[in-house]
Amino acid sequence: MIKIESVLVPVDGSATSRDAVIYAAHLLNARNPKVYLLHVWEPISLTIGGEEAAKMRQEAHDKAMELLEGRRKLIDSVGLDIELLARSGRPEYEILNVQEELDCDLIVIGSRGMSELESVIMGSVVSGVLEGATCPVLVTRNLRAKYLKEASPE
Amino acid sequence: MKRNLVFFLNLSVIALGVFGLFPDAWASTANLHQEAEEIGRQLGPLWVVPFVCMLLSIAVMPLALPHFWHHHYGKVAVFWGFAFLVPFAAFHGSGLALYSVAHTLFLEYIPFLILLLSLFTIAGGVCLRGSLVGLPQVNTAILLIGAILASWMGTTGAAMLLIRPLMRANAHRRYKVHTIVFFIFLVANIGGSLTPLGDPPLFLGFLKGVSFFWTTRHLFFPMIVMAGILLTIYFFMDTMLFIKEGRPDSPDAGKDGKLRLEGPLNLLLLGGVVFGVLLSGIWKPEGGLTIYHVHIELQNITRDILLLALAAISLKTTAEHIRRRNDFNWEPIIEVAKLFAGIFVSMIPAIAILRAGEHGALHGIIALVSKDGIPNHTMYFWLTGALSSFLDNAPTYLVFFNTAGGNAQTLMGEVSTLMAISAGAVFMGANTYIGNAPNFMVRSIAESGGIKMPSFFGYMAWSVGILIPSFVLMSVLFFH
Repeated sequence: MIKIESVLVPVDGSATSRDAVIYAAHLLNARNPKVYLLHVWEPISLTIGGEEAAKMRQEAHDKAMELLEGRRKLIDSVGLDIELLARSGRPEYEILNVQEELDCDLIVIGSRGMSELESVIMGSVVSGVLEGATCPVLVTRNLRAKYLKEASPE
Repeated sequence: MKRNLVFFLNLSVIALGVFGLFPDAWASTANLHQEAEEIGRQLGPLWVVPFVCMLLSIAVMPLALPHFWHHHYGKVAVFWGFAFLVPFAAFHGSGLALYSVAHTLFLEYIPFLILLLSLFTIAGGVCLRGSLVGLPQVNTAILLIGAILASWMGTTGAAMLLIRPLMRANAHRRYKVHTIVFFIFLVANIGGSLTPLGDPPLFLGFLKGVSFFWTTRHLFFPMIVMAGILLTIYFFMDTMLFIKEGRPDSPDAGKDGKLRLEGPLNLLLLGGVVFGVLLSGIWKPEGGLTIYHVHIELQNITRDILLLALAAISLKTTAEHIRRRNDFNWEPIIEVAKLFAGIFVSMIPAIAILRAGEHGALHGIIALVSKDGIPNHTMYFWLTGALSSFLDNAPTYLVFFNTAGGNAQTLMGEVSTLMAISAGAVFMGANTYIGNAPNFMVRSIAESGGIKMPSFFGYMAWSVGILIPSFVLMSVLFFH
């Protein structure tokens, strides 16, 4: 039987990613995996260095942890073992790096969707993750209310 | 990324709007080329203010207003560009303003950015893996290899290829800062002095007509002497510190397998970049494209298309995990694109005035570097160098190239002046973190890797203590 021991859930400030966190927690509840909530923040401008950059990195890290704490609260009632991770860099690369480093068995990620033009020019984080991940990836998008209602702790 | 798209889109709309206010821009039939050549005699020193402010913004704002700078550096660059452009269009006609911008954009900014983009993309697809142990001889060998590679894959490319392996190799060492500082000296700057691919100022010189191998021939000995001095100092310093640390063993030795290069196809693509740049210097076909009175030669269009194609091939063929290991992302190149847009546009009047020589408003600078028409090479070396240390070295090179007359053929023939300018710009970019783009990239990577790098002035203590005495020797040996 395939075991799902650790799950990576990338998080940004969007509603779709919030829904993905809730969905993942309730979907996997019975398997009791370790859940890693990851937020990737934008790197600091390269022309800024030294103490100024260190201070800004710390601020970005604190802000990321605040966002992650908020997401953790949403699924606290499920009783999973949750760890919060904040990294800086290109989101799809950091997600894949963490997946590799922590040997995650599943990635659950919310897709915001982009216009045709945007995805041609930039590609999306989700397609980058799908392309590079060495574990299954579950993509959620436009989740119907029933999934969230069933999962919602309220 | 989306913000960046919006940024460049907005910029185009604003630019079209500005010129839309001045319909004569589109109707002009005057000889704009001639006008642009002569405008430098009419411009007062105030016209240089936006350029100086642009460069000062890069030097001061990241320290003084880091949050504002992080979010708005692109807008600051646009502001200083327009601070020159709008009054220039009002006083000297929008036709001439548009021509000047088109000239800078098509003949300098776009080719410059395409070269950087292709080197950055291709070098970002090569990853050096395997166990390297940070012994003094290994570290010195990495610095030497980096210095050699820098002229062929760009200082940025060589620095990005080697900085992480070097940091991994030295992870167990207590003293690491000196290694990163010498890496900035050698790989991010001095090593790039032999070809136009090495360092952006030399590519700008190439675009102005300096032949590809001119610097290889003429800066070879200065570069060897300079690199020899620095490598020797580094080796002794690292050996002493290694002994002081008690000759530590690396806990990771042998863990990452044998030393190997991933993404070797990219080395072939780098060869393609060398070919493309060489081709545009040798091949002289008829034809090309004329956009708003600016003629873009066919060989240059071909080169730029080839470089973009090589970058696209690199993106398509390189395994994603290689770029991931290199922490590859577009932010550095976007930052360079935005900042240099402001630099190149605001630099237009400074270049025009300097080209006017003794008849221009900056005759004071001309008087500093030449007496009775005879150039003072020591002054060229030190002045280009001093400004390259605190301003970016690419625009500084262009400024002094034009101060020296701006004619590539003449300057190549006279040798010494162009040697002094090229060496000053490339070598002394190492004096501060802001002298050359890879300096702050390396610092940023080292700091993210937990190495506590010296502050802006702390770094300068290193350069004043080690580089400046070496430069004094260089000016005695080569630039007098």
